[in-house]
Amino acid sequence: MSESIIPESELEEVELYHAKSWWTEKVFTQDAKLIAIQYGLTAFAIGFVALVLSWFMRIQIAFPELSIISEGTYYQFITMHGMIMVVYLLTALFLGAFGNYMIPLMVGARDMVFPYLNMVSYWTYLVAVLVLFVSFFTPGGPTGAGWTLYPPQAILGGTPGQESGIILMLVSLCIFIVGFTMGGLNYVITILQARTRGMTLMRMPLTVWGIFTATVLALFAFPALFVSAVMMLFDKILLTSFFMPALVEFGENLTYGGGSPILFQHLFWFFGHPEVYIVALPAFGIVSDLISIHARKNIFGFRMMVWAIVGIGALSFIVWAHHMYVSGMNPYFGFFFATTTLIIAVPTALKVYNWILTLWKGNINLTIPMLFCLGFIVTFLNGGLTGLFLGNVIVDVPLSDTYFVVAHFHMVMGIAPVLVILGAIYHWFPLITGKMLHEGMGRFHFWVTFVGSYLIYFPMHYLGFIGVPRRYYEMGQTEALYTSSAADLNVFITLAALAVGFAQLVFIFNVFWSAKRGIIAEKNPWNATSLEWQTPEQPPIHGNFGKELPVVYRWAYDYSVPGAEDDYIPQDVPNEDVKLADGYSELGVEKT
Amino acid sequence: MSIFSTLSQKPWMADQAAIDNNHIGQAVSMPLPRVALYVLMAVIGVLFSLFSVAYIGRMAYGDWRTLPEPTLLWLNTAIIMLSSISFHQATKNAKENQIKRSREYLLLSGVLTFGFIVGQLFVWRELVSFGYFASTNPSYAFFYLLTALHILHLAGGLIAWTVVTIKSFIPQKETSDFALKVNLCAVYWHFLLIVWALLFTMLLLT
Amino acid sequence: MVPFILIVLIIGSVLFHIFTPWYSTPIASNWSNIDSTIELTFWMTGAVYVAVLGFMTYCVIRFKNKEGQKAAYEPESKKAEVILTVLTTIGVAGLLAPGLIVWDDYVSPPEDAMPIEAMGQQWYWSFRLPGKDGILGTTDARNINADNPFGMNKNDPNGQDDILIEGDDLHLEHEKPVKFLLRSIDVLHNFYVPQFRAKMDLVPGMVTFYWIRPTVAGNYEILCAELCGVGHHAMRGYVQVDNADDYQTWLNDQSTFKALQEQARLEDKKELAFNKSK
Repeated sequence: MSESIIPESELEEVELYHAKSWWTEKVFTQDAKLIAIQYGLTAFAIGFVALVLSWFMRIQIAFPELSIISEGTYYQFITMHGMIMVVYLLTALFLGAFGNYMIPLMVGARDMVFPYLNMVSYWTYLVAVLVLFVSFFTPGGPTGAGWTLYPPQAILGGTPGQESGIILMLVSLCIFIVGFTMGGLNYVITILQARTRGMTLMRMPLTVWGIFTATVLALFAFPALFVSAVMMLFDKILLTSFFMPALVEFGENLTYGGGSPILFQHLFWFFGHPEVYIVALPAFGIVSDLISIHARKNIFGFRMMVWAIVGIGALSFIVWAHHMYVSGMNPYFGFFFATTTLIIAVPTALKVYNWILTLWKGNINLTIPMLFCLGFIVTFLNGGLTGLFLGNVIVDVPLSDTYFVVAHFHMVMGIAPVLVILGAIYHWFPLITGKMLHEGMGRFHFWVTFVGSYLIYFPMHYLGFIGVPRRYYEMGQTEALYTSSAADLNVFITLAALAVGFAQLVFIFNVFWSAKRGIIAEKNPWNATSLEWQTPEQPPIHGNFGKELPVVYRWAYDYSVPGAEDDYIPQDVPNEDVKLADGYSELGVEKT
Repeated sequence: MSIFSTLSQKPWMADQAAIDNNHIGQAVSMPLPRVALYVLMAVIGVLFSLFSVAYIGRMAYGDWRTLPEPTLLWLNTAIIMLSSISFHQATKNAKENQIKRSREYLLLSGVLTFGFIVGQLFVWRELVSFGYFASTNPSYAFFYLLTALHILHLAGGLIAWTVVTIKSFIPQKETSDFALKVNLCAVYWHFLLIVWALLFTMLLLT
Repeated sequence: MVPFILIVLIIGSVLFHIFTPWYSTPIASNWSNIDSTIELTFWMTGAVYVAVLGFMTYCVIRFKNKEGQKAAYEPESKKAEVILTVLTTIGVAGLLAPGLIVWDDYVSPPEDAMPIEAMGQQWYWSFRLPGKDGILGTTDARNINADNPFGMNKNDPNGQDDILIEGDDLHLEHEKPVKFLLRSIDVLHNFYVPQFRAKMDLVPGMVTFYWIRPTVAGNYEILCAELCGVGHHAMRGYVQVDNADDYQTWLNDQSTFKALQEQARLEDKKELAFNKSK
């Protein structure tokens, strides 16, 4: 007996906060749903900047003779593109936006447990984004050290943005981490302590499981980034030598001495690898729910799905050095980290099997969210399998730092999670706005995004096989490596990338147009069981549920239950209230 | 044990559903602020542990110099210890509803904490006057970094302390959570005392 | 429409792999085992990719929503999950084991490998050969100045006959194993020759290594594979793999550290004399 029946806690539930003015209701709001939208819009805004940066990069790579940006600008753009996409877009969207919106609704709470802290968390995040954005306009511009910010080059003269860009970058990351910690405390404690009656941990939808585990990872992984950022700030500003060995900068001997660049890499990837799963686990959770709902079938192997999420989360802390096989660290670490890395492939593979086994014998509605799920499975499987190349230490040697790596991580933690985010927006848009997104534009958006991304990244792996290194401003005249046909491939990839970019503009238009003019959504349009669709109003108002909190009587996956008239039973419907199908005397029991 | 049995539940089975329907929706029986504090302390603990790992990792390189130990550090340690004890007394009195005595101990704790912070700043001044700058050697840099971070966490605690102390001047209702709040402050102070003790030991040994 | 596109995508990916003109450069070192592990990984992951996506496409065709169709209700199947776990574990172990064996080889240079130092700085390559004694002299980044670009320790007898090649091509002898000792004097770099299949970062403050045995004579380009500032993409160099005779000819033309120091001293003297005479 773990957490079955527990006495009432020491304190009563905190009373729901009520705004007193327009400002505290709409701007400095403490309602998790509005905070979620603030997080989402901010993340998309800064993410759009990163997307535009990638267009410039792609044009430069495909048409180097145009030189539309200089070397320095190119390196600044790759850095900002990477950092924004990983931290400021994906992390903020999954945890800040989806976490805030879905957690209280899905576990049956009126709001987050600490609404004030939640509000401060968002505004701190906004400050972090602004500090980052300001670095574009400072002398020297933003840092061009690569999103990994490896010292020594991150703070030395040969790298653009070493005047102030790198300082603003590190400060922004520290602010982000502080802000995230406030939000993260909220998500974890709301899930642990503020569920409604009957909502056991194992009755929570996998979306909540994914967000919960990712938040725990983030709470324990971000401190490593904080540590490395603070120590690098010391090296930059106070000229300490944490990461800086004795070195010569363009013929001039510097005062640094004795430090270790590898130490930074260990700290960075101790954060960096869990970060991959901070993005992936919520995506796993959400996609599981979407597949189940749109295939009208319970998720296959629910317990395995939960174990895999928790297991992957735990393992993600002991695989970090697989990013460092050719970094010069002790080569014997390679044996350990290759083994742990390939072990993590097993639970991940099981998740893929279970998604597909959910489709097996389902009743698949090829709605737009379902299309995005299928797209996710394709790209995630592709990226996961190429991970087996890079995780296996010796195979990594020729491929690391080439375009194979770029293709791999864009497929697995760029395209795959973004397809989930987009699918989730199509799925929950009716809940959030009360309107449906336009179907035709949505299908166009899906096909161009999915097929286009596949055409960008699938061939890109082969550039890596040739040996084309990543982060090259231009390839130059390397006959053996870079024949003219590879240049043609780069032109093709750039055209595909621009097409995908265009499709996102259609999507943005669709969101704003449908929010205003879209057709009114019916209540619970996808016939889902989880609590967020069972609110009295749609979209849910402040406080989420009516006078009484819902009571949960079943898990989140009662789809197509034998004996039930409908093909779903909401979580808050007791067995007595289920309408039985003809020929059944009880759920699962046929009349004799 | 309990985590594993939770994870092996089959929520779709009728017998499990019968048990689950009565579940209250909480993982632990504890007031929210206490849970929050424990999670926060875990995060801060990880932060300081990672700094210690970096410290030990950096120590392995040849240029490491041992840090001089100003005697003042011992005095500061005694002060922060006393402040923790005083917080303990404040909690005890608050639980017995002796608000006035509790307040006195609270004020004493605050003054002691403030003394500790000033003391640490004096240690910095002493080190700087000897020419031990952060850029001189990584061991000094770590000393400034770790003490500064510790002071920042104490300063954060002082915000909570201010709120609780102000609360102690306002007449309390029967159901008030004053005792809980004093207790949480005390727990946080004990935690930071342990962090300081470990840091100090680490600095002393190297 | 959906299954059709999925099928095109699966078949297209396979055909792309078979007919791609973009693939590894012809190998020129002993690391054909690395290529074999890549090949093995490709076969296994490719099979899984086609099988899993093929099954998914089948499900989409077979179980597409139809009037009166109801999904099955099956929370889990222990048997299916155990079988899949075991199969996956076997597959993963089958990839890992050969990989680790080759890695063990990669990190264990043979005794007779000649040490050669490759030194990186923004943004070019320099090399140092051990000379007749077969031992490289010690160095320190703090010794670096205009007369001593390698930061050689002048008092180290082992370093006197070291052969220094600054900003020029490196030559290797065909079929002779070499152990590259990698050193950077400013930021991270990575010594990467695609045809050799091997690479490793250069880290300032420490010496890293890997070894190869060049198996095909020819001229190969060195690419820096770790971001090192705005000149990263332009940090190139060449390795020339020669047969024994050509290699000796080349080697005899190179200068030792001692000779270079003498030369520098002579030039200093000349300059001094020149200045006095004015």
